[in-house]
Amino acid sequence: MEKNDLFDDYLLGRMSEMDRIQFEKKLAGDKVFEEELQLHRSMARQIEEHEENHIRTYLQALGYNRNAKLKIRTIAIAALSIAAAFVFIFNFLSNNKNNHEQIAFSTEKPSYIEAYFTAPTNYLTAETRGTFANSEIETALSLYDKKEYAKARELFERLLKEDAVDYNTRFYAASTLLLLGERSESSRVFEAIEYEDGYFKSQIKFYLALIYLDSGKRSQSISKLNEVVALDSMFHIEALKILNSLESEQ
Amino acid sequence: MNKQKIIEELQAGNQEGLTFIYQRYAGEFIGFVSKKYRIDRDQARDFYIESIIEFRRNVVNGKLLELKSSLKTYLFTIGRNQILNYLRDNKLTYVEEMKDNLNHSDTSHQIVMEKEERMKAVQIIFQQLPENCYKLLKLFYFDHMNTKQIQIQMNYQNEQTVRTRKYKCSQKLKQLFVEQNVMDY
Repeated sequence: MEKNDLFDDYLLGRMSEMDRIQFEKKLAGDKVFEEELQLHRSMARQIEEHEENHIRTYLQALGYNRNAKLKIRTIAIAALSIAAAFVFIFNFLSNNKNNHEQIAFSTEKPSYIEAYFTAPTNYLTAETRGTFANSEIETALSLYDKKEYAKARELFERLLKEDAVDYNTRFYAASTLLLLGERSESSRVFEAIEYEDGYFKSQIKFYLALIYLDSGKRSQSISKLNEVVALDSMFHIEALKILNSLESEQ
Repeated sequence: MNKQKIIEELQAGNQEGLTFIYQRYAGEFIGFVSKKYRIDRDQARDFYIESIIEFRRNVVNGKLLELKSSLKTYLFTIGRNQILNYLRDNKLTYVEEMKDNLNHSDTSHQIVMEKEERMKAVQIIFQQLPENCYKLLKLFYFDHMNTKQIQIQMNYQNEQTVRTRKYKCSQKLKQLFVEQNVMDY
């Protein structure tokens, strides 16, 4: 039996009494074995804790006493809608020249990419890429691993033009572009692979939502964030947090 | 949704079960405990959420296969115990604080900050894993599914594939934990 399975059986209380005694005997006399168990336990607990936080955020977002608040909320929404319509008409009529000012305003907002995007670790090997494996891709990914994003970008760009890269490599190419601050190029590559079947489905949607938000495309971003929530992945909490903060901004 | 169906939903890792429980008794629980234990409604809601989490934990751990009492009684009992523990612990902290003249609020604030930082670091690590890797580990360690259930859920060819992937993913995750020093237990 593989060591990790043994740890799982012990931690989940699935061992027979005899096996447990033997296991604990080994544990008492083998420091390395004990440390390995601690690490395994830590991993299991962190996953549990992370997912329980996910539930907390989800339930907190549900709110409570919805029926009692419904009437007040409906009235408030109606009043706000009327006020917003007046503001919109007023702005449209009196200040039709302020497109540039609006763009300037949106750049003053905090960057969602900066707050929520971290470079995804590359686990690709020539073996996992199969027929797509070639030395240029290896070089590009190795530059990405070394955080030499500008150099990686040059190679990725050429490979993308030749259409010689697979889904996974395109994902890291798009991530590289995003790391270099090239939002529109990055979103173009992410959008091209968004609906392909692969490892990074919700990750891509989440990153697209961040790019859209930073580009002022709020409704597109909200729709992507809702898709992330529906996929129920590890980006669920972050997506909910952003959705909540967007809602409270309104 | 009857109580057996709720348990089945939780065992299957479906969110519908949690949503149903939350909405079914939230108003009643919050109103009742905030009055009885003189805590504010936000705190009461947090306790209600913790009760649901504990209920779910008992279901997926196999400690609770069927409910002998009503769901409401079960949730209210867990909630009551949690509130009493909280009130007792808070009282003890207060007494300790008076005795030793220590600045406990600073210490507990620091603990909360450290925990938040660690959680953020863990979140980043999870995000660095390939998506199916984390999903597989989540199904095993959080939803407590066996390899057969995971095979069906994730559409793998056979159970051996699940075992092999689980091994590789957990080794990778542990390596990241060690490299970034986020072990806490």
